[in-house]
Amino acid sequence: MLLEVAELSVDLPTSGGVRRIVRSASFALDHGQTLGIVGESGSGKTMTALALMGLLPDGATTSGAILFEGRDLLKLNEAQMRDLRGDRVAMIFQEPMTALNPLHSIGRQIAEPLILHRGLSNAAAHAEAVRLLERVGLPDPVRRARAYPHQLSGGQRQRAMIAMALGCAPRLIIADEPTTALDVTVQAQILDLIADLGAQSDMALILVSHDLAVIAQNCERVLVMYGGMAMESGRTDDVLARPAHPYTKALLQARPRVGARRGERLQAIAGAAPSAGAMPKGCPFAGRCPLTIAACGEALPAPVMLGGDHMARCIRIDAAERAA
Amino acid sequence: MSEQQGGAPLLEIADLVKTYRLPRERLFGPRPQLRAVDGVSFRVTAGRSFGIVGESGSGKSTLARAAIALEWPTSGQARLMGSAMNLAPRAALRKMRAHMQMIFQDPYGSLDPRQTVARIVGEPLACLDGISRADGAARIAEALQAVGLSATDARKYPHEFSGGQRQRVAIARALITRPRLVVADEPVSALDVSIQAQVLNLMTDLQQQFGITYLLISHDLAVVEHICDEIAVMYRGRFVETGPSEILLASPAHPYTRALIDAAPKLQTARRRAPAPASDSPGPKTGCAYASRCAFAQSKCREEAPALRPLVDGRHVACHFPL
Repeated sequence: MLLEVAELSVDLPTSGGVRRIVRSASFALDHGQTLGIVGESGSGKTMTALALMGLLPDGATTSGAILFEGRDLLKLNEAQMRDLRGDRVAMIFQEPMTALNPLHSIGRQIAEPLILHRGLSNAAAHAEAVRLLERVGLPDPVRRARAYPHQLSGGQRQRAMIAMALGCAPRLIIADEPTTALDVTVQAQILDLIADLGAQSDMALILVSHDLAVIAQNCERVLVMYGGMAMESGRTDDVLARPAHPYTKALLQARPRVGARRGERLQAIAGAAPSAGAMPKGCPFAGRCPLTIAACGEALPAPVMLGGDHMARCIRIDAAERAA
Repeated sequence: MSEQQGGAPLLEIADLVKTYRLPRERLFGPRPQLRAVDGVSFRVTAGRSFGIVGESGSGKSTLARAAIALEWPTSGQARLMGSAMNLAPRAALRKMRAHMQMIFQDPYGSLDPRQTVARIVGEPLACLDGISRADGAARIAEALQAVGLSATDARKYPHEFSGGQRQRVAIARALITRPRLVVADEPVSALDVSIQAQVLNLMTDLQQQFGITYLLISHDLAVVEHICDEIAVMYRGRFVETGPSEILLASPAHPYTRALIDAAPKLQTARRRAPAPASDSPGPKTGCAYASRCAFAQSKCREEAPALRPLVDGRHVACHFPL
């Protein structure tokens, strides 16, 4: 296994006290595999991704384990983590305009990790940067390498970010909403690019998104998060064909579909997600869930295995099966 | 687009052009112009909601704002129920505003954090004459209830609500003058999926309950199809295809419409590959603006701009070689 996350919890200090943002999340990923983490705002998906990168906000505390290539990332110090970051594991952020440094040329920013981690000379690193820009499909890479972020379009900036992430041939790439700020036609191209590059060099990919459809089309495996908890996980085919958790089912039915009858009532999920400050002791979906019983609010539901590695955390699975 | 049976259409946009002057590129150089909306005409008939789909920079938001006189067109006209808004005197325009309201994308940015919900929701009443304080309060309570909030929420401030509830407040504000036309610019794209469905259901209910017609702006085809009877696809300031929603989405005639439909993520695991990367060039001066991205472009496309012309099934398409 390339990556094994076991019972990962993240606590974050806020003005209202310490809040648990991620609650006992477990998942694993092997070389070349793709995993999608899907969730709404406040689900803890981004914090999970940041924990893997060792980029949690100041004051955050963690428990559990993140085994990456056999080492527990939660036990590494900042210097060790820095050696790993950008080299063995790299991240693609949502908004390339804020993730790129506006004062440095694109080429310089792509060359930096190569100089740092690979010990390349300036000239060699710059030549490699141009080659990387070509690989991510930017036309005229020599000129683009000299350009500054503001001179590129949104899609081009995201390609440059991908080039930067690829530089040291990481074993794992974490992409947090990499296409949310982009138009749909550009989004499709960027997702194709990430998929192709991952397949070429046997990189594992974690794609974080609020959009289940984006995950469905790009990841073999999916993890559905809500209220800091991993509600359901498994092979994407299995989860889409036989969603077991009431939340996953609700999420699948809430979207309008092209081709559906106009004005058809959507299966809205009543209420709103619990805020991190008011996180219940039990299942975070209790109350919004049509199958809620008193026991749902009492304790964190244990994982229920549903064949293969299809897992759902719900004490009402049997009732959910009958309701379907 | 369907013709109105008797009387003027609810909204009629005639050859509307909106240009913006950009900053100078050189000192003493001329200020370049951007044609955000480049000669668009359409009609919105009462009871048939109209959707405009396009990517960022297509001019769809500018068009929506010009349609309800939040922007003055550079040329062309926007007529509400037969009267031209840019020719109307101030007082008359103010009265017309009661018939058209707007819902904005970001429910965090569009509500003043220092005003109570009562003041926010009641503000458009200023364009109605002779509404007493008591009438106003009753109208506010009624609008809040219509969107699923309670009348007691009127005393609260925006920060006390979640994103979905804030969008309900924004919708209540749009409803309070009992408008015929509501322009909604990406009303659900800032909301989580589970909340989107609530707001879309609400918008559908209000359509039936109050006879509201929407002019909906969105990049999301499924959202537009859910609400709208007619769709226009906009690309670089122009309509490239218009027509009844189901026909347009089931068998698009313009290659750009096809590309938008194919690129939209779907809940299935196999995916059609995206077409070749789009060129980011500003587009040729002559010919079809989409030609540089189009897989079917021929030499004629680069020489002659296609006009929007009718097809047999009620659609209009601006393409020399429709699919």
